[in-house]
Amino acid sequence: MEKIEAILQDLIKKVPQIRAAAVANMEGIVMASELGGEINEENFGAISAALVGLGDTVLSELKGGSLSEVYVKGKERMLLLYRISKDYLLALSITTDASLGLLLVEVRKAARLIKKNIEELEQAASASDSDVQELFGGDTSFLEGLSFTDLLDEE
Amino acid sequence: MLIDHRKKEIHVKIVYYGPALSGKTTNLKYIYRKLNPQFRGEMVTVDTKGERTMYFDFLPVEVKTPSGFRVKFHLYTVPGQEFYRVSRKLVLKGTDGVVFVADSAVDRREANIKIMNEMVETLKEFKTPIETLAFVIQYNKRDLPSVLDIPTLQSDLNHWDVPYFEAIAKEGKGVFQTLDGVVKQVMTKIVKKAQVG
Repeated sequence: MEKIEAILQDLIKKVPQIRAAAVANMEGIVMASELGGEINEENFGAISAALVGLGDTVLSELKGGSLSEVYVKGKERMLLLYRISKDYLLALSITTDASLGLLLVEVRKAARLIKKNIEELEQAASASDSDVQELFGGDTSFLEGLSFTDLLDEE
Repeated sequence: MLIDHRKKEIHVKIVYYGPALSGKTTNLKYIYRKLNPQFRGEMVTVDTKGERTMYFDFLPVEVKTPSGFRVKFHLYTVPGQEFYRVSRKLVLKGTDGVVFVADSAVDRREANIKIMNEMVETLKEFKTPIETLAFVIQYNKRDLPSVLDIPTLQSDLNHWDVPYFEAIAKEGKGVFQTLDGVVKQVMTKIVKKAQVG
């Protein structure tokens, strides 16, 4: 994940009009991000994946081929969703004065690098399942008492 | 599911599925209202002017394991209305757990069965059959004057003998029990996977 974060940092450095960037899977789960504190990571991932999923459906109805990009433009910001692969997307919040042509050149380069990194991570993941046990500390007794009712806000 | 070893986080997706107006959004809104903000994020709703879910509702909640590992549950609802089938399919994709929210009203019997069948078929299509996922059923609106009895609902909907919960979601009854039920199943699956691995 560090490598992907470094790619995002580099992209923002090269194109300062990009104010926030995240890589999410199509389930809306963010795996790496540079959001600068002004965007909620989880919500950004969920909405971005939903928009790309909706775009897929629209293009399928229109017989428009596979989706490559989605743009949502507002007065202050633009959202660019770039399809990295079937399962992953790159979400970018950009100021509206950005030159799209130049921006896309850098975005494509970054997306290629991210795709390569994700493939490497996925290959490594199958070998590291046992790490989950290590992360749980081998103690599964907490499952018995696990309840959200212990986490309620005090009235 | 996504495991981030560096941040010590596991991300899990859970979808609340069921017929129109069965109380899926009501479940999420209650969780949002009652849960300590420390353990939940902000709720995102994509709805119509009449507050009917158009695409989905989204609410992230989390627990911490004794080893300090954070498990983040991404809770989604789907729109229950017939013509939003495509949206339901999109939201259901890649889920790790399902809460089926059934409407206990006598006149919603057919609607419950129809949408349960649709969900089971969609999951088969995704090659993640319901038997492989964490799965619980909530029989909501138990306070209505004319409700189906539990044996009838069980015979109609619970062909897998999964845990079920009676609820009155608008009052919060059964909401957290249902959430706990599906979360425990997801966690057990993660632990089992780790033990096999």
